[in-house]
Amino acid sequence: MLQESINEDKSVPFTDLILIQLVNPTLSQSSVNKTRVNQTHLSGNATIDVNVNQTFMSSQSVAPFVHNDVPVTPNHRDHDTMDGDEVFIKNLNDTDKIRLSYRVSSSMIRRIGANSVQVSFPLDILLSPDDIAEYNNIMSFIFRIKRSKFVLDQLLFIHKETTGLTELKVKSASVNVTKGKNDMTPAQRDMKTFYHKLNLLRGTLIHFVNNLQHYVATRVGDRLIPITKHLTSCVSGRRNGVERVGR
Amino acid sequence: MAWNELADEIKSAKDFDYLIDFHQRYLSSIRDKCLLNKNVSRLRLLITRILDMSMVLKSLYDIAPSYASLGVATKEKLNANYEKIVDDFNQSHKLLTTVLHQIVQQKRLPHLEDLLVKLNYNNYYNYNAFALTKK
Repeated sequence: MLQESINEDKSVPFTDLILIQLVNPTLSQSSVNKTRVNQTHLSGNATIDVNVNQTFMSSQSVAPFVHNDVPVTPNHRDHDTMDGDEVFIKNLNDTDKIRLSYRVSSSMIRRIGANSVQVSFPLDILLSPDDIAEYNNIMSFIFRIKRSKFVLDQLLFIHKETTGLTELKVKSASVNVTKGKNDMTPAQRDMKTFYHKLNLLRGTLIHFVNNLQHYVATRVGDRLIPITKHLTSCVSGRRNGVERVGR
Repeated sequence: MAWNELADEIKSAKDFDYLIDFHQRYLSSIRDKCLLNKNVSRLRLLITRILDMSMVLKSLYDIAPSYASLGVATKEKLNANYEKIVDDFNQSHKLLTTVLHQIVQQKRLPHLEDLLVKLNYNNYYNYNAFALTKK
């Protein structure tokens, strides 16, 4: 029975079909186009989704593991879902986007579970539910690193937005940093000291996270990135066959 | 075991059981590198703990602009929170590098050696632990 169904479509070898399905279990040409549209759309928004996808995990490599389970903050009306796998964040200022992205990323990590992916034939023969759970654990770990890196990177901008690059703008008391330490009030000096301490800790944490990310990118990423590259070749080489099988 | 090897094996495999076995080895190698094995779960826990500190730090950054207008008690509380994060980081980091060092000494694992060198910053943290606390 299995062999018969495999031999029905001679244009797509069974092994290639497994490869294609392994790359993206829900692959079809329309879904690939949709993914590209999503990337273009999201690129205008400073969200964690874009940052996660653009570095060493492309949206294609992530998609199989968060498909149909892209988290949406239920109480936030600016979130829309389209076809179950798109998130649009509209009409938000930068601060809101950053804060929203924390919630989205946290929710994403929580909701990546073993039940989030339904593997279709013939990949379901190769990948057991335990394997899917393993992949989800790996992706969850990578998401966590990317989320921390994103948060730490954004802190610099929040700091700059709050204080300004050259001037220290404080609502309670405006003061020019260039005046020097002696011209500052004790409260302002305290605040500057506090910022300095926070920046020291941020530097320490970002060193840790950057190195961890580099470790994952070089030791694990080389095993996951080719999935994305292979997707392109599979899609371009076997597009007609895949579409026919998809019907 | 890289993706290319898996792709080649999938193309050339004649036995499906062999294919499943090969994929399991492929997945296992990734699992090892991501510290998902039970025998290194403690490392994973420590790493997660440090990663989550970025969220706490972010909350401190949120409060920082209004720091000058805060009361003395609130300032002390914020500073205490800061010190706690620093202590947690130093302890977790020290424990992480120590455990990594022990694992690497017992068994040759190049990927963990690589991670140890990266995280320990050429032994900087071995000699400068709690440096932030003293400041």
